[in-house]
Amino acid sequence: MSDFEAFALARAAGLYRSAWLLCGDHHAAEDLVQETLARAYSRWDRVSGADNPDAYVQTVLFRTFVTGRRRLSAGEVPIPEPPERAASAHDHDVRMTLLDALGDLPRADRAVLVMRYLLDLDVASVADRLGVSENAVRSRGSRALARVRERLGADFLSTTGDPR
Amino acid sequence: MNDMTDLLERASDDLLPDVPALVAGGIARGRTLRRRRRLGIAAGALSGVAAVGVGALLVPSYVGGPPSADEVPVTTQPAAPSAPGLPARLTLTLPAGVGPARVTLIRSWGSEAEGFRAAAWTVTPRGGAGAGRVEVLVERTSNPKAPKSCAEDPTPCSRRPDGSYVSGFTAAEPLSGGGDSDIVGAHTSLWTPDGLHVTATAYNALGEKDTRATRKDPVLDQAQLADVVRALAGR
Repeated sequence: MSDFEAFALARAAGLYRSAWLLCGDHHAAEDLVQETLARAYSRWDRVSGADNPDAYVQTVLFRTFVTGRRRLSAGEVPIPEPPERAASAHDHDVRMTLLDALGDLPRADRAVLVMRYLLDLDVASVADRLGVSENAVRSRGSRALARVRERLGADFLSTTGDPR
Repeated sequence: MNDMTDLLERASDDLLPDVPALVAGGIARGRTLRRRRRLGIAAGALSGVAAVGVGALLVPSYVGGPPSADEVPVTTQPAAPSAPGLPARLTLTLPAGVGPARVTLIRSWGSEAEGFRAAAWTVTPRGGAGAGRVEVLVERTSNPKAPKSCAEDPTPCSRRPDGSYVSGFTAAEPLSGGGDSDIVGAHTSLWTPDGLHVTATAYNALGEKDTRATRKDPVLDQAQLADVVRALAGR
């Protein structure tokens, strides 16, 4: 197994998770992950030599999503819908409502939420990876969080604090 | 951890993507990107858009929007003095088994000084139907991190006794506006231990894009392309 393959196998599930929250559906998420891995593969000498290869591929994924530059199924290798562990009816409702709420946000706001709250990155790291200012991250994060809270209501979010 | 974190995790923690398939798809697309970058570099040299040395030509550029992390310019090392010479002229000799066909040179570009030579031909089977394009790029690999063995190149690959190796794949070409085209490209590359890289691509059409397929399969298959790249590398 090559270094790249080992690297990609270890990261693909995590990248897919972020991609799924960003894109809201399986096919777009797998396209985004494949595009991210393709870019990493085509420049593996740089990625493997980077100080933090994980941050490097995350940056590629989020920037590709935000700028909408992925090739939209061009060359995508189709994969069947992924199996999911059985989810409760409540969890299913949570998922659908959350995806709807995220889908209403601008792409950059969605990216900020996923980076801040799923990846648990601080403001400075998000700003660095998206190539924007820290104030922009705070502003987008605050706005996005307010919108999601409004959409989801108290049943889902009761004590979520302001962006750290 | 706050409620938003909990919510995002609950919504996504039971997803079970097909990881091996994702990785395989990423590698296949990555190989296409890599090949296009190389051929794009060579085509740029032909057009004379930038009168710069080959080292600078190997630095990809990005126009429109912010730079992404995978497009950070890097400096490419010049070829080592002991790097192998390039063929004075690229010729396409059809391997046995292709059948009677006419080979027509479309164009050639590159030079010894630039570190690469490239050429494109149309291969027209007897009778005129089902013609396809074949492109070849021969370059010195000045990048010290270029793959040097099959172990570093996870697509189908075979090692030869002289230390060179050949790898290849076949994939549909994307439409420029998104979606799949009916054009299929077969790609085969050969790497030699002394730093020569030869890549050959055959299409089932007269071009890579903006045209329609003329046949079901590329005009040369991967095994035939392997013969082509070995001949061009003198192996």
